[in-house]
Amino acid sequence: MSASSSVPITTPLATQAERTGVRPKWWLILRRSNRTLIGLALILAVAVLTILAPAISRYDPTFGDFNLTLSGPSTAHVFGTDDLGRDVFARVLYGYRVSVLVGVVSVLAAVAVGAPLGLLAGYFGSTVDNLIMRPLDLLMSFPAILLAITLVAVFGTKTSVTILALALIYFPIMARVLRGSVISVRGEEYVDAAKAIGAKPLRVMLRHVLPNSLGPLVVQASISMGIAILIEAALSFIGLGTQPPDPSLGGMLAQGRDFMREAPWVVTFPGLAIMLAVLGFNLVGDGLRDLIAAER
Amino acid sequence: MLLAYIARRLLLTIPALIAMSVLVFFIIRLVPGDPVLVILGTRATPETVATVRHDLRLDEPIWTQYAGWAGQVFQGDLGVDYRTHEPIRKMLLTRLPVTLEMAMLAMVMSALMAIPLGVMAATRRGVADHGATALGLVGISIPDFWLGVMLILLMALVLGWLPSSGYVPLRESVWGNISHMLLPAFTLSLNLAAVLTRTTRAAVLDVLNRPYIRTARAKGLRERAVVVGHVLKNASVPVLTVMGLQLGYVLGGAVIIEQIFALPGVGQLTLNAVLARNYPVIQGAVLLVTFLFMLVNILTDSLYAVLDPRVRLSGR
Repeated sequence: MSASSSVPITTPLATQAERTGVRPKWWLILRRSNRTLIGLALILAVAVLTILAPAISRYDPTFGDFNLTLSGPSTAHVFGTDDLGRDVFARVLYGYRVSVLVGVVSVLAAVAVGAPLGLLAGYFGSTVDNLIMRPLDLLMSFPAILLAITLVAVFGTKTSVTILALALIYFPIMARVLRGSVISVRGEEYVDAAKAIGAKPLRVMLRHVLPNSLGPLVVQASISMGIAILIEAALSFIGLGTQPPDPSLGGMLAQGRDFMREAPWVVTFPGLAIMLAVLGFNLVGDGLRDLIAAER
Repeated sequence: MLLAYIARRLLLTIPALIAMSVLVFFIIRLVPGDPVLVILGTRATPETVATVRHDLRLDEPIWTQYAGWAGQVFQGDLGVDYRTHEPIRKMLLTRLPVTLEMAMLAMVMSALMAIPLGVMAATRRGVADHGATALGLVGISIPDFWLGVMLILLMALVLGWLPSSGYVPLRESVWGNISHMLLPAFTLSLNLAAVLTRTTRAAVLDVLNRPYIRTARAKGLRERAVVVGHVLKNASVPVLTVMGLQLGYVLGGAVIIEQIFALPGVGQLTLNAVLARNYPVIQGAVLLVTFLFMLVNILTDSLYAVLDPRVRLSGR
């Protein structure tokens, strides 16, 4: 299922790998998916902008120049200024910091908790599977945004709470995805072979099953990071995420609504910024999914 | 058979609902601060505090509190708003139609966009396919609240074609009602359409490779008849499943969209309750939405079984 896949199933690379029995290096594989490369470039660009924000913009994101409120994009202020005369470009750069931090950290936490659970549930099956997965099914029966909002209502609007809420939303999903691919791998011959030569369950799981079932988890994690960034922005937008005066992309949008007719740039650029970052993660996830499908 | 299946599934939601109510009840009790002081303010006399505490049964052990609350919920009584003393059930029931109307309209719009696009992408390939893929990727990456704001800016403030926000009941004016619903529903539908286009495309491609399609073509059916009569019918199962899952998502997403467009639905009620730390209302709303979410999932699964007789109607 691929549109970008100008990737035929048998390429010289694949045949070579078949002949030598060696998996081609990952960067050689990645090179074959334009979508993944564009996505990685977008993520890299966002990361560089985020890290080098102080060097890129000469403005302080919280400093307002009251002589220059709501001025349109110009050479001095590329994205214009907001109602308090603050530089929108600088605020977008710093707003990225929170968004990307929340998106990446929450999903990594979800993988750290969910992956071991999914591995155990998928590898052992039956009782272990039921013990682990039934409670997770229950967690997944909450609509995601509602769960996040309830947690924020209880524990307050802090970045750490947002990360916790998102991790809680995603860890059952990570567990379920890995469990699925573990189940499809655990019956493979090389797993039986490993067991036959006396490898302990832990070794079989970590050395043989896990590396061969990671693909779908990586895809899911990448796509989830994009969605997590969207949810963080949405929470900040409705006043339950990052609090002003700290710049956040969602918060800028909420605040810019009051004067968007006079100064549309204040609401336009933060939204575009969110979209580009999310698009990056989606492109990577999508491209990787096609690569995995082509390899099978 | 089917009715028995639905009944069994409904029975299975009972433990899930109980577990969820425990979760909601105790999570909210974790909140620092005394709800009685929140209601009365800090200047209340100790006697008033004690009376109110007793009235709200907050002086009983927590398990008794839960049992009392759950017993009421089971009878459909969600308690009253601490502040306005309005029954929460009534608050929710007056707002539910607004949310459901928006959700349904969004679902219809997304299906009207996504299904033809997905079928075209799968049957024609080439430009249509690349276009659908690109649209799909952009569609899932656009923040819906930003899209909503941008649509208000364009359609309401600049062009003046549609009202920017608010709600008119259907009884008062049909056009008034629909014109207020178009922008929020479209905002919600774009994300849905993106996902649904991909699902449709994948489902149609999968069916096109099946032997019975080759048979249909071999017996001389025109391509149009093959697509409409055989492909669409068989591809509808995954498409409907995804639509069912999306309805649940829409109920959650309503919180943000209703806020942008000032629609008095369940989402707006929930958000205002959260901002005001109005816990009984939060409890009621979360319970209602989660229950609807589970109900939709059961209906989706049942539909799945109706459309595809091969699906075994086992307990899970």
